[in-house]
Amino acid sequence: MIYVRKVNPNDPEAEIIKEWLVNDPEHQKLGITPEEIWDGECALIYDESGPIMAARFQRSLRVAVQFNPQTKLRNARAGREVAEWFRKLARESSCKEVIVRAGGKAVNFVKRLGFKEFIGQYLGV
Amino acid sequence: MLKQRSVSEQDRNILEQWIQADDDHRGKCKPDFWIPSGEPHVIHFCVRDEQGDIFFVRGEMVLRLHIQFAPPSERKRLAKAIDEFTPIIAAGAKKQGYKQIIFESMVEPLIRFLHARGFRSSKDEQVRDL
Repeated sequence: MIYVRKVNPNDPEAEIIKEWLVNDPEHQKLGITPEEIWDGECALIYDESGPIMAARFQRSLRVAVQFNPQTKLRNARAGREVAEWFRKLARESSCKEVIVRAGGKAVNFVKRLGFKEFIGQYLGV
Repeated sequence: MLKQRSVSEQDRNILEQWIQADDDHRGKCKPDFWIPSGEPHVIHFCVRDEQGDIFFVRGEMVLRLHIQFAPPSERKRLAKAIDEFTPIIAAGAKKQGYKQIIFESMVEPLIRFLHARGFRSSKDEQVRDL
């Protein structure tokens, strides 16, 4: 049976997470720093034998767009301004990022707007 | 000058036409996805320029999860803890209005492990930090 407890940077348990991170070759390869642990909310998960993993939570805004396929030039013109709307909306909703799943030619379009690729796994809730 | 307007049932026909004419969306989504239905924590709007409507937008909150595991010597405990943690966090996220949990990993054994617990790979994702 596990239980979950919120952890703050000044709690003694914070050192456990830091130690796991600096000794984790995969996370070191990715350049994850101890400071990043506190970007969002952090919790420690315990089982019967003690702490077993830490979880960090961040809120994201997922955006989907249905373009008018007949107005490609107008869509492109509007893209940059609307991307800024998304950023503003996300910031106002305490989100750390905006996520889109673009297909076809839209991939290059959103990259030009400053989006970066990531390899994700998701769980429907 | 761009403007926003709300979306309603009256937009169903135009959405059907645009989806049919869109190679990336045809057969993959329906107008209902873009029309508000009272779902909490989901936003919908239509963007217009001087000549009229140019696109429909749907926005929803998702929870990004980052995990720091204990050392691999605790593998058995970790597997058990993930099994218990996944449904707990999914239920909590759903209660708070999140639509998905997103987790990023390139470690194949972990990806396989997560797939067995309901996660799906999500292709073509793009993210913009704020």
